[in-house]
Order: sequence, then structure tokens, then C-alpha cells
Amino acid sequence: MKTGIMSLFIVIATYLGGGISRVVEDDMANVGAIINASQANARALNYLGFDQKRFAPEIDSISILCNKIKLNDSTTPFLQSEIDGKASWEVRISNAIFRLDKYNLDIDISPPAYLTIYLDSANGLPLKIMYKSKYQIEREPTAEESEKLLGVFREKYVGLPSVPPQISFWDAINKCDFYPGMAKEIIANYVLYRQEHYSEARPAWIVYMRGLPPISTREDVALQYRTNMRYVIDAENGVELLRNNLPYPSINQD
Amino acid sequence: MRYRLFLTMLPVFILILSKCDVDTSSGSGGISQAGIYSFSYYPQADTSNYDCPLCNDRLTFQLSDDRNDSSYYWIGMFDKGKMVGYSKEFLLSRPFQDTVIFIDVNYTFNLNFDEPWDYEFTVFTCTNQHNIGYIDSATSMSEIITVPDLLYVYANDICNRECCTKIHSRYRAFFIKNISKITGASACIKTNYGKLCGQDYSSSPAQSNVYVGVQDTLCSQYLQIGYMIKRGFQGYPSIIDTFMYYECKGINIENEYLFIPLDHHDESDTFYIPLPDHGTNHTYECIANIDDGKIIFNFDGIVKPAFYALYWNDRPVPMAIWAAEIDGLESDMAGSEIDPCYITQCDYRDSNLTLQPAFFDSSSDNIGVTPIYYKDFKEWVIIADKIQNAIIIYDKDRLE
Repeated sequence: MKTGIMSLFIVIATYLGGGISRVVEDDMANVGAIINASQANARALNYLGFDQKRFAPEIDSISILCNKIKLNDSTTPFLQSEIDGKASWEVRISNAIFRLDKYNLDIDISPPAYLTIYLDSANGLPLKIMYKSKYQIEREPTAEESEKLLGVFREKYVGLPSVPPQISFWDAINKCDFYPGMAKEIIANYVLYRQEHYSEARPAWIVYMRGLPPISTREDVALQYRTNMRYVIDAENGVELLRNNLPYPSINQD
Repeated sequence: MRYRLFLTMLPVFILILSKCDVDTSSGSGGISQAGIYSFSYYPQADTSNYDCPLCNDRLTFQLSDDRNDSSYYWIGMFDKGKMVGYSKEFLLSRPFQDTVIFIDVNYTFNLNFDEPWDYEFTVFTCTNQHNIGYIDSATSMSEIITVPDLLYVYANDICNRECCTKIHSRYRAFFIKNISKITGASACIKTNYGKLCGQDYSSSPAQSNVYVGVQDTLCSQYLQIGYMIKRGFQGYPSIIDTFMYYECKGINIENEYLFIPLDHHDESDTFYIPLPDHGTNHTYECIANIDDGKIIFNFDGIVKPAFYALYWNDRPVPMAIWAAEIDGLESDMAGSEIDPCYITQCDYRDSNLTLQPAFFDSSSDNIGVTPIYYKDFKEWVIIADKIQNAIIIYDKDRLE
């Protein structure tokens, strides 16, 4: 277990009548510094949008590991320097199956897969969500590589929101049609998002799926250019703002 | 019943196949003269796979060529003079000597395993990638040349089970407008979904699409917008999806690739596009402003958010293309003989971004279908209607 100021390992057995359904009743607007692991745990499940109906019923125990850490980040475009080194709560969930609305596809979080949400310890808001499946895939693009490609649509993550999202991660990922249940890795960020044609930055979920089945069969295009999809979902109203296969790591640097 | 008989004979087949030396059936010892080469061998079938016989041979060719320029090379596979398959292209800079090329050549065969197959291979060169696998067109353009020195060839059999007839790469019915500087293309396309190969039982990847686009001759830079019916990839659920898409190759740098599928959206979404229903007509357009690299796609007049592809700055492309295409497996090309896929209002934009009708009346225009090795060479039909400024495409032999 990682060293940290506080840590807590929780196994929620028979969650059907227990903790999860209770924490999702918390007000998502409840923002403020996180002072202990159980609060981090509750806040994490809240922002993730997990409740009992969103887990596959065949799993009867979910493990949740909670740590206070300094978040290492080298890949979040535009915000890497702001996020890197930030005091955060790391809430890692495993031994679960995350049920999506569409296509009867699940996100399998059975070990060794895991899903981690990092919360800003100062205000409790989500900084980053990371799902890792059991499969290894090529490296993430660096922040610099991503910024270059996101510049194509004049996108920018201009900062971290100061207010909680109005929709959960679960709501956001259910907007993603191509196809979250098949992703080998999902990286989500809650950011202030701006595109050239929008006058103001707005809170948005960035859901970046990697290791998907190739989205087109073109043989003239490198596979790693065809296995990503990124969705930008307005975190206030759930409207999809943008989708495409950008970014991806540069082939030349590998 | 047929399968039961086959199973009864299976031990016999295995005995026969066990005596086949696939590697040495290639005429080992080397072939050193120019021209067409023939050898016999027994394709080693996966005998558990009598539903869908398919082999995927990896062939090795050792080539020498002392001429001075660069060309695409491709290898045609012939059975009794009929081309039954061709390889993916490979690009070589001449002169070269004893270059070893590994190529997968897919082929199908009958279930009569006790007969040897006589295949002929010819190495071709051409300077235009669109003529790969297309002998008629290449010949008429005097771009087809047999390679002077094909040293030897052998085959390693790696039969795989597939429940569809697998074909190599993509096959197209296309019309290409060749103008020195093209900055956009558009058309109204009638949505006409066919079946994907093995649609009722297979999870193998398959795709069929119709599009309008602009591109360079090497396919290293292109825009494309159209609709698609697609099934995912092996190992994943067999989701069949129909959607509209657009894509761009060459973004900030060469070969970078953007792909945007549009479907399933809520109407409030920025990218909402109504799903192209079978039988409906929709307009598709792509525009590249080569002054600033601004790329615009629009669907039924709905302009999608523009993006900026720096690679397109001062890089106009010479070709506009209207095409139907299948990829990966033998699926239906869009349209049938009684209900063809109509591509009307075929226009392109010149270097001033001015819209011009294609009309298909220039000697440099190029119309054709790429061959399919398994069935009739002309399985797909494309007709250009100069008066109506339209293209008609259909598949002569649709899946039941």
C-alpha cells in the first residue's frame, strides 16, 4: 500500500443494501476540502455516479482502496503543470463490473483491472479518472503531443472547475457510443473546456478511450491512430460538444 | 449431408495433405527469367473449416530490378489466365537487387483437395496507386510492366478459419476526376445498405461504405465523407453499426489521421446528425481551403465545426473521388441491380473554391472497379451518366 497521510482499505460486502446506495444520495454540490478517507470514498462514488443498479449483480463485493497522495501527471493536455504534484485523494475501485446503459456492454474492473478517481483534496472535485483493463497498450500521448492535436479544433482545457459537475462520470460515459465497454483504457478529466466557437469556457467531462477496436479499416493509417475516441461532454447539461479520435502518441518518437 | 460426407472423407484428405510439401511446390531452384511464373501446390486447408474454405498464404518473392525510378509493385495471382487475387502494393526505389518481399496473398479454393492447383504469379509495376490490381486500366495507361528478374518464389501455408470469404484489402467502384488543383467535392448519395459478409452468424470485421472525397495519388493526403455499415473486429461483440462519417489524412504533419463517426446522437448535441436511413438521399461535401488549412465538412447543408489541418496549407490535391467500397470481407457493395446506389450532383471545387460539375467527360477522368478474385471479375458495376452528372453503382451478386 502506498504511503500517505491517511489510507483506508474498504471492502463493501453485499453492497446491495449498504454503503453505495447511501453515498449517492449525498448532494453532488457538496463541495469542500476532503478531510478523511471515508469522505473521499463517498465523494468519489458520487462523482463517478456509481450506485447499485450500475454494477453487475453477479459481483457481490467491491474493493475500494483510498489513499492521500501527490498526483503525478505528465499527460493531461494544457493542465499538466496544474495537476502534477497536487495533493489528492486516490480512490481505487476493483473487483466490480460497471454496467453501461447501451449495447449491454460492461466495463470490467475485475483484477488486475482497476478504476481510479483522483480528487482534489482542497476542494474535493474530481481531477482525473483512470480505468486500466488487464490489457497492455501503447503509451499515452504526452501533454505536448495532445495539445498539438487538440489545437486542430482550437480546443483548450483552460483550467479546473470550481464547481461540481452536474452530471456524473457514468452519465458522461453513457454518451459515448464508440464503444466504452471495449476500451482497454479510459482516461477522464473534469475541466473547464473552451473551443474557438464558444464564447466562454464551460465545465466538461473529457472521456478519452484508448485501445478500442479500430474505428476504420484503413490499412494506410497507423493502427494507433485508429484505436482512440475522445468525447467532450458538457458537465452541466450532458450535451456532447465534440468527438474524434484525437489525440494519439506520435509514431516518430517511439 | 454434404458436410457429413466430407467428415467421412476427412481422414483421407488429411492423409493426402500430409504428403503435400507446400514449400517445395513453388518451383524451388529459382526462376530467373522475366514474365509469368507458374507453380503447383496443394493449398493446405483447415479441414475443420469446410463451411468457409480459405487460405492465407505468405509468399516470398525475391526481386531484382535495375531500372531507375520508383514504382509500386504488386503481384497478381492467376488461375488459368484469370486473376484470382492480388497482393497489397509495396513501394520500392529502383534500382534494387535481391530484395526479398513477403506478401500475404489470400485465395479461396474448391473442396476438391486431391487436385493440385496451378497458379501463376506475375509481378507488376505501376506508378499510380489506383491501378494496383487493375490490369485493364493499367494496361491502357501503359503503366504495367513485368519485372525483369523474379528470382524465386515459395509459399508457406498458413490457413486460417474464417466464416466469410476473406478478401485482401479494399475493393472499390470508383470515379476519379483528375484536375491539377482540387479543393473540394460534393454529391447527393442515396443510402443503400447491403449485407455484410456472414451478417447472420459472423463476428469477423466487415465494412461497406460510399463516399465523396478529395485526395492525392498516393493516398497520403485525403478528405472523405460518406456513410458506412460496419461490423467490429474479431474478439469483440458483433455489433453492426450504420453511420455517417468523415475523415482526414494529413493534419499537422503527414499521415496524421482524423476520423469522426456520427450517429446515435441526442438532437441537442453539437454533432447531431440524423442517421442515414436506407433509401434516403443526403448531400455530402468536403472543402479544403489551402490558404489556411481550414477544413469543412457538411452533411445535408449542416456545416460541421471546421478544423485546421496545417498539412493542407498550399497543398491542393489533384483528385476528386466518388466511390463505393468494401473492406476486409466479401460484403455487398452498395446498391443492387434493381435498386442501385445513385450518386448525383457530383461536383468538385477548383483551386478558387468554385463549384464545378464533374460531368465525367474529360480524357483524364478515370472510372473503374477493382477486381474480386473469387467470383466474376466484374462483380461490381459503375456507370457514369454524363448528362445527369451522376454515377450509378451496384453489386451484381448480392448476398441473400
